[in-house]
This record gives sequence, structure tokens and C-alpha cells, in this order.
Amino acid sequence: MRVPFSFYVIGIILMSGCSNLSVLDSKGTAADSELKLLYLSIALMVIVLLVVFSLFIRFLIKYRERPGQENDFPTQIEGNKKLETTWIVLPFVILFILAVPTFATTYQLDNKAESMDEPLVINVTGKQFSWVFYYPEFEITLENEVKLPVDRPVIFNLHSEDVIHSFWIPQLAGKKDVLPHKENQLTLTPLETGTYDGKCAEFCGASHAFMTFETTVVEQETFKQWTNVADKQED
Amino acid sequence: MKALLDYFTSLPSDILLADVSFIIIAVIICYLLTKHSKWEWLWGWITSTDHKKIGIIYLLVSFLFFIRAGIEALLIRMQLAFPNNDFWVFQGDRFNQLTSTHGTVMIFLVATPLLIGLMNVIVPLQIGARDVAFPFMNSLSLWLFISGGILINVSFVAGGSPNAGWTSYAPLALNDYTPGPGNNYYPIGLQVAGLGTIMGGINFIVTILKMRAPGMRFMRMPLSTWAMFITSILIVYAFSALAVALLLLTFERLFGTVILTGGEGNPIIWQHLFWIFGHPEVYIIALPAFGIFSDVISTFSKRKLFGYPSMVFAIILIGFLGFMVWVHHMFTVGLSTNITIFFALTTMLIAVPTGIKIFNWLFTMRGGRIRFDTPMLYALGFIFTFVIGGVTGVMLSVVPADYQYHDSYFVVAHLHYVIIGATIFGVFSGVYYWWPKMFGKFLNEKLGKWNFWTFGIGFHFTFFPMHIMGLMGMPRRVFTYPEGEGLGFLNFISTCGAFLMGAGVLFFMINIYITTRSTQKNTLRDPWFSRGRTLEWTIPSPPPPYNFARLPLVKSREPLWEAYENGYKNIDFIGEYEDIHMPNSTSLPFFMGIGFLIASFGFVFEIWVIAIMGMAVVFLLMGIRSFQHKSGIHIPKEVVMAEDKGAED
Amino acid sequence: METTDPKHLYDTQQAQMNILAFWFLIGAEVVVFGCLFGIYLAVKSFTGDGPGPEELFKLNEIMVSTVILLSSSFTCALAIYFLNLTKKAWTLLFFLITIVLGLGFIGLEIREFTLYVGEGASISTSAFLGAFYMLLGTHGVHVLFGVTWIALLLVQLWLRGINQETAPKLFIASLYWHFIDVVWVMIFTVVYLIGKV
Ligand code: HEA
Ligand code: HEA
Ligand code: CUA
Ligand SMILES: [Cu+2]
Repeated sequence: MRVPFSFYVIGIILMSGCSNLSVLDSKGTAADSELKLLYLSIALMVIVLLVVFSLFIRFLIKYRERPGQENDFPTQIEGNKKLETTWIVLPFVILFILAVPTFATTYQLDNKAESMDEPLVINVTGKQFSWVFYYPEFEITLENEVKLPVDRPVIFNLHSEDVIHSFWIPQLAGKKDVLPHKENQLTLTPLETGTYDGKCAEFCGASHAFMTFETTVVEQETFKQWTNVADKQED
Repeated sequence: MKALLDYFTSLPSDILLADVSFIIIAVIICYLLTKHSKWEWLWGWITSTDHKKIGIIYLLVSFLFFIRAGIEALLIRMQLAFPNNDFWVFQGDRFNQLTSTHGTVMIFLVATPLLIGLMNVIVPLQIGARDVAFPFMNSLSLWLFISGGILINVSFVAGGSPNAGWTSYAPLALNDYTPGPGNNYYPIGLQVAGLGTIMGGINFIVTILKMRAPGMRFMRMPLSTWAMFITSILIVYAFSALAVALLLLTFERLFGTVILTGGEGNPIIWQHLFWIFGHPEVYIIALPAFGIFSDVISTFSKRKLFGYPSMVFAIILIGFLGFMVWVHHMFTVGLSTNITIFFALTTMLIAVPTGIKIFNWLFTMRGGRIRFDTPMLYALGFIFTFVIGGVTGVMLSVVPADYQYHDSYFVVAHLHYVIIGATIFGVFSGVYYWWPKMFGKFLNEKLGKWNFWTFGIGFHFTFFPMHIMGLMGMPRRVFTYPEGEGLGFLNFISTCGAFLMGAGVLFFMINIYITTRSTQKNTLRDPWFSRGRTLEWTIPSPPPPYNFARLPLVKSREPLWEAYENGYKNIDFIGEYEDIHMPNSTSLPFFMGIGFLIASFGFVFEIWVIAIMGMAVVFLLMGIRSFQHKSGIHIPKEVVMAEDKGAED
Repeated sequence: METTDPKHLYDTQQAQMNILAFWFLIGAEVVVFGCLFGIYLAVKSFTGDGPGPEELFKLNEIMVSTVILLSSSFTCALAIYFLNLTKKAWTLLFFLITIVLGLGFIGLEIREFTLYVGEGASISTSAFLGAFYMLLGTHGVHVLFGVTWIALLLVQLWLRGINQETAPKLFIASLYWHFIDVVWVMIFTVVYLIGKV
């Protein structure tokens, strides 16, 4: 059992040393609240793993059959009510700690759109294999790239022209499916300027791997200028 | 001849290779069978209704499928070893065919039938029965599984494989986006195999309800039997939901309904139906493994299973909850929040009964004398691996976090941790454990250890990095990824790990080969340090066709162990010797399988004459079966007695 | 052995197991039809350019089919009653009536379908119609299978008489037949009656 364990150590080093863990490097409100839960769940699960593995290793070492014990048969017991109750109750406690914030955050993420003031609305159309972004406010259309102003809430209205896709900008927000028969909404507020990868996360055909887009978050000022210029160009 | 040659030279290299290797293997097999004049022997196996033989065929065939899907996994890993890689022909659609059949074959034609194979071998022995309730139907289940399996396996050389993922989501899986026969194979092949599985489920339910030995009450059944009983119930209900889902997909593809299309219909219906089946399915392939581990851990710790009643209770609870969690695969679909969190809650709750099992196993070992024979190594590897996979499962059930994990490599990591950790380790454990019972010989322990360590270490190298890849934003089912995102290194490690797993599988194959060739004979009834606990160890290895010469009398949960404790050599068998009635062997199921195969090809290629002909064969054979007198054969009591006396010493 | 003591018709271990297995099969069928109903209800309002349930269904004719199928259930029950009394001729007669009624039902259903298709309501017209034909078609195929099955069993009954081999088979077939009827009642209520109002 020692080998996989040392492997874990490598894993943890990788995790801390790696700067590309986009999910852990959140730059948007939605991704932030998702990340908090992610950390909470990892912490709780590490507790579970520690308990199980320490018992496991302890028992393996302590109760292994030693040479000469081949014909040694220990006493047989049925069980132990107290112990059994313990490991019914404790998981409940852990799950409770996990469930409450999970539900709260889910409600909050799903129902953000109503409470936002002055959101920037963007209509997103997914199709095999590209993304079209339309800003109704400015009547601008972009393909495979989207520009957002920092700190302003955004509502993406997602719709598909053909099969199911999924809209994912790991650093800004978790994914939302893009359906052909129904409109879905994804809301987020970018918190830092920069360029973030966006991708299609639902398997959608031969070039699913190439259905990516670039998200650029810019200062509000820059965004305003850009919309003005783009507006003129459109006319 | 020229036309044939032209045909072959026009094929893409991978299909050509598959064709050629298939022909070579077929020729070799025919040659060997003829040389050793074994055709009749083969026919004996094909027409057998003996549950042990059927179980062994199940194991063998699904192992072949495992090799196939495993080779596909290696091809996947090769294509993904480096960023922007172009390995052989496996880009774009060809890669999608690879992942789709890898997943489909592994779940439906490997995991499920491997366990059903073990069920066949073990359940009647553990409950003290002479056969299953419906031997004919048992054989039919087998041949339906093989028919469906063949269909899905030849798809790749005949018209293209399914390429919409093992989940085959609409609308991608509909004619508009994936025309041609490729995706017809999926609903039709699985329908045939699934029909066989449902029959198998009913068969085992009735067997366990009605054929237990005298005195074997429910709460005296071994844990393997319990798990397989609950599994059978899950099979009957989950696979019927699958049947409807597949019927719907067939209608969409062949008969032009528009229920699932994006414009007029609602594609989410497919997702619901698929996962109403799909989630119970993952417990269908996990529970029997849990059962096997319970028997193995208790035997090799020389301890009674800790908390038997709560173990049984946990299995039932897992089976029950398993039907109420399916929406956790659909968190990102945009269903209403109330639905989402209800299913998140039920999903989390499953951790509790599973935890009960994990801790009971741990405390079974406490105070024991733990031996490290190969079956036990796999059981220990299971605990280590499955707990990791289980807690990542709980992490997935945290809805907002799942918005990030969903459809990323994190999920791929989770699913392999739980499936390989439970099902594949479970089957290895069970096969090593019961091999002496099935064949009267031990598998080589030394090779077994090599098998375990290479497969196990390779496993963690392959799949642990996938958690991190998921967190780095790598979606699943992509055939390539760009450079400079740091994904290359992890993927490369993963690929290396996969080859180490391959080496592990090779050790297993070598082990079987060597064992089969060797002349070592172990006629021990109870081979594992003579301390078996359950009924299968009370009869000769391999058991006679009728298993039990006289029926055992079961007075406790672990009759054999109890007998040893009280200084007896074996348990009490009751009653006199009598003539034993066994079912005839029959070729009808085999031909029905062929009928289904023909019909399926007709459906796949939409050639209705062939489809109708195939179905006609099936119905004709069913009619014939209905008219047959089920006489069976009688083994005279003198023979039984002589054999039994011979086995005693 | 022309007839057996009626008390022991279903006594064999095998008969007991067959009947039990059959109940589980019915369980599976309940799931099958449950899912089909689910699909139907989910897309009932998706009528697209095609006709909806109100325009399409003609309740009067459906009433006839319903009466036919329900009376076949009754004759089937009678047949089993005579089977248990080991009255071969009566059993044969009532099962024959059951078959004829079943065939009548199938005939009416085929007529209904051709009528609809003639009105331009085919399986690919809309999601609603697709689900409708799938549900009704699956049920219809069950009826057809039941008719054929009972017919085959009747030949056996005729040749071999009522014994421990034929009686359990007929009993199981009758369970199957009643089950199909129950499904029809569900279809009648959920599809036709609710569709109309
Ligand atoms: C053998 C198969 C198997 C098993 C047993 C499981 C077990 C579990 N699975 Fe998994 N799952 C799959 C096979 C399996 N899964 C597959 C194949 C997929 C992907 C399908 C696809 O999309 O292709 C999937 C996907 C999947 C998803 C969807 C992810 C996504 O696509 O976004 C989720 C989400 O909730 C999930 C959750 C769980 C949970 C909570 C368990 C639980 O049952 C785990 C319970 C076990 C433990 C928790 C460990 C032991 C317990 C303790 C030590 C007690 C203390 C613990 C706590 C208090 C936490 N699984
Ligand atoms: C029982 C279930 C099961 C098992 C055992 C496996 C086993 C493996 N799986 Fe798979 N996998 C799935 C079920 C399973 N998988 C499912 C359901 C999916 C999702 C599919 C989808 O997205 O639709 C998936 C997807 C999946 C992916 C993601 C694909 C993608 O999203 O693009 C990957 C990637 O690495 C992968 C890899 C592997 C590897 C390396 C193994 C290894 O463990 C394989 C080890 C076995 C071998 C290596 C065989 C070795 C044999 C030999 C070496 C013998 C050679 C001998 C001769 C030629 C005579 N699997
Ligand atoms: Cu669009 Cu994947
Ligand atoms: Cu699940």
C-alpha cells in the first residue's frame, strides 16, 4: 500500500506547484462560490480518508498473520452495536455540514438573475462547432470570442441551434448546458481583467475538442470605448 | 478474388488490421479445435444448461470483451499522450467511436456480464441448490448477451461504431447528426443483450427465493448471495427502463418519430430515461463486488463478518436509494433548483450505507489473522481505491462544485476509481478465490501478486492524474488538447500507467495459461487453508453436475466453519441418496441467439426482410420450445452414491 | 394422463417457480409501460403542426375496443375457472372466445391507426403522435403476442389435456392477459379520456 500513498504526495505537490489549475484559480463570482464549496468538500473528504486509511493501515499491520500462526483461529464475534451506531451517525454529521451550504449556494447561483442590477445581457448561440455572442444592448455580434467589462454582472442566455453543448469558462463560472429546445441562463460577475479560456464541455460531435472561445475581461472604460467603436463599424 | 483484394486494400489501416487479426484468430481456433478433435466438446459447452458451465462461458466471453475495450483504452491513451498529437487514425470521429465503444463495451459487455458469470457459478453453490430455477432461460440469457455483444463488437468493421458516447445523448445520436448504421448498433445491440440480462435477473430472484437448501433462512445467506439477490432485483427494474429508452431511440432512428429532436421534441427525456437506468446500473455492477469482498475479507481474516445484519441492511438501502439519485448526472441541464437539491441530498445519503459497509469490513479485519493471498490483496486494494472514488463521488454531488467538475476529467477519474476499484478488482478477487472451486486447481500465487501490483499501481498512475486534469479544465471526450496548459505531463503519466495496467492483465493471462497447462491437481474440497465458511466449500472441486449429492442441512450462518469448530470434517447432509433429475442440454438458446443476431443486422441496416426472417426464427424456436416435453435426465442414485463416496477420501 | 386431480394442478415446484417468475416479469412490464406513459405525458402538448388529442380521438370507437378487450378478460377468467375444474371443452371454448375478441381488438386498432394516418397524423408528424403510437403500438404488440401464445397453448391443451404441465402455462397466460387489459384501462383513461377533456 505504500506505493500509491507516495503517489498521493506527488499529487499534492503537483497541485500546489501547478499554476494551471484553472478551476482553483477563480476570477469570477460564480466560480468563487463554487470554489468555496469545493474546498469545503475536499477538507471534509480528507478527514474521511484519514480516518479510513489510518484504521486500514493500523489493522493491516497489527492483525496480519505472522509466520507460525497459520493454524491460529481467533475468536469470532458478531458485531458491536456502539461502534456500528458511531459510523452511522458520524457520516450524517459530515454530510449535514456539507449539505447546508450546498443547498444555499445552489439556490443563490440559480436565482441570481432577478436580483442583479444593470446586468449586461449576452445571447449565446452554440452550434457545431462554434459560438456566436450577441449583445442586444449594442447590437454587436462576436464569433468564438466574448468581451466582458470587469465587475459588471453578466447574464448569458444560452441556446443551441443543433445538438446539446455546454458553456464553460472554468475561471469565471461552472458550466451550463446549451440546449436546442430551451433557453438556459448563466450569470456571473468577472472580478479581474484578463483572458480566460472558454470551452464546450458537452460532447457534441467530431470537432467537440475544437469548440472553444476566448473570454476577455477588460476595464469598464475600455469596454465602453469598444462598444462605441464596434457599434460604428456595424453601421 | 480480385474484388475481395480491392475491398481489403480500400480499407483504412485500423479496420484492415482488425479484419486480418480476426481472420487469423478464427483460423487458429478452428485449426486447434479440429486438430484436437474438440468440436464435439465445444458443442457440449454451447448446449449446456449447467449453471457452472454457463457461468464460465460468461466469464470467458466478457473477458475477451475486456481485452478489446482495454485495447481501445490503450489507443485512447496513446492519442492523448501528448498535446496536439496525431496518433494513427484516431482523431475526430474515429476517436469518438473509440471512447463510445470503450465505455459501452466496458459497462454492458464487461462489468455486468463478468459479475453475472460469477453469480452463475456461485449462487446455486452458496444456497445449496442443484441448479438455477430456469436452466433453459439461463442459457438463453447467455446467448442473448453474446449476440448483443457480437453486434456491438463488429460494428466497427461493418458500417462504423456508435459514436455518441456510452450515454448516446440525443439529439447527437439521432439521424440528423449521426446518419448511417453506426448509432443503430447501440440501441439494437443493447436491447438484445439487455433482454438476456432481464431474464437472468428474474432467474436469480426466483432461484434465491425458492431453491435455498433446507434451513437456509434469509438471514443465513452468505453476503455474496445477498448482494446478488438485491442486484437481480435492480436488474429487473433498471433494465426495463433501459429497454424503453432504447426502444425510443430505435423509433427515432428507424421509424422517424420526433420525440427527442431539438425542434419539435424534448431531448432531455432521453437523459432521464437513460439515467433512471444508468445510476442503478452502477450499483448493479458494484453490489455483487461488495458481496464478494465480504466473503473474501471474512475468509482471509479468519473472522466472522462484522455486523452481518447491518451489512444486509446497507445493501438493501443502497439498492433502494440507487433508484432515487439519477438526476445527479444532469445537474447542469438547468432543471428546477428544488429537483436538483432533492437529488443532491439523496446522492449524499448513499454515502451512509456505503460507509457502513466500509467500516464493517475494516472491523472484520480487526482482531483477525489477515492473510495476503491474491483474492485478499484485491479486496484490500478495493477498500483503498473505492473509498477514494466514493469520496470524489460525494464531492460530485455538491451541486455548485459539480458545475465545475461535470463532463471534465474529474468525472472520468471518479468513474474509473469506483468501477475498476469495485467491479474489476471484485471480479479478479472472486476469480482467484473461486478458481480452485471451478477448476480444481489454484491459480499461481506468485503471478497473482505480479498481476495485482502491476494492475493496481498502474491503475493509480493512470487515473489519479485525471483528477488534476479535471481541475485544470480538461473536458472529457476530447481527442486533443493544446500545448502550454500543463496537461501534457499529466496525460503522459496517465498513458504510462495504462500500459502498466496492460502488463497486469498480461500477467493474469499468463497465469491462466500456465495453470491450465500444469498438471498440479488439487482435489481439495476446501482449498483455502481448509477454513471455508459457506456451502460451496462443502462439495468437491470442481463440483459434480448436480453439485450436491445430498442436500445440506443449514443450521447457522456459517455452517462449515461451525462444523470445523465442533470438530467435524464437514457439515451434515440430510436425507437419503436419491435419483437426481437434471435438465437436458439444449441447442435452442444458441439458435435463438443466432436468430436475434440475424434480425438485429436487419434492423441495423434497415433491411426489413432480414429483420423479419430473424424474428421468425426466434418465434419459431420459442414455439418449438413451448411444445417440448421437459423430461430431463435422471442420474441414478447408485451413481451419485458412488461418486460421493469417491469424493470423500 | 388425460386429467389430473384439480387440487394438484399447480403443485409442482416448477409451476410455483414459473408463476413467481411471471410476477416479476409483470413487474418489469409495469416499468416498461410506466416509462412509456411518462414519455407520452411529457410530450402530450407537443403537437406541432399535427392534430391534438381532442381533434383526433373518436371516443365512440374506442369505447367499442374497450368493451371488447374487457369482455375478453372476463372470458379468460371463465376459461381459467373451467380449467381449475378440469373441464377441457369449456376451457377451450372460452379461451377461443378470448382469442377472437383479442383479434377483434387488434383489427379495430389497425383500423384506427390507418384512419389517423389517412388524416395526416402519422408517427413522424409530431412528438405527441410519436409517443402515442409508441405507447399504443407496444400495447398492441403485447395483445398480438398474447393471442399467439394462447393459441399455441390451446393446441397443447387440445393434444395433451389438462395436466400439471399445461395448466400452469395457461394460468400464466391468463395473468398476462389480465395485465394487458389493465394496461388498456390505463391507456383508455390517460390517453383517451383525459385527452378528450
Ligand atoms: C461502480 C460504479 C459507481 C459507483 C459505486 C458510484 C458511486 C457514487 N457516485 Fe458515481 N459515477 C459512476 C459510477 C459509479 N459511481 C459513473 C460510471 C459515472 C459517470 C457516468 C458518465 O457520465 O459517463 C458517475 C458519475 C457520478 C456523478 C455525476 C458527475 C457528473 O457527470 O457531473 C455523481 C454526482 O453526484 C456521482 C456520485 C456518486 C456518489 C455520491 C457515489 C456513492 O455511492 C459513493 C459512496 C461511497 C463513499 C462515500 C465512500 C465510503 C464511505 C465512507 C468511508 C463513509 C464516510 C463518508 C462520508 C461521510 C462522505 N457519480
Ligand atoms: C468497466 C468499466 C471500465 C473499465 C474497466 C475501463 C478501463 C480503462 N479506461 Fe475507461 N471508461 C469507461 C469505463 C471503463 N474504463 C467509461 C464508461 C467511460 C466513459 C465513456 C464515454 O465517455 O462515453 C470511459 C472513458 C475512458 C476515458 C475517457 C475518454 C474520453 O473522455 O475521451 C479514458 C481515457 O483515458 C479511459 C481509459 C481507460 C483505461 C486506460 C482503462 C484501463 O483500465 C484498461 C486496462 C485494460 C487493458 C490495458 C487491456 C490490456 C490487455 C492486453 C494488454 C492484452 C493484449 C493481448 C492481446 C492483444 C492478445 N476510459
Ligand atoms: Cu459543443 Cu462540445
Ligand atoms: Cu450516478
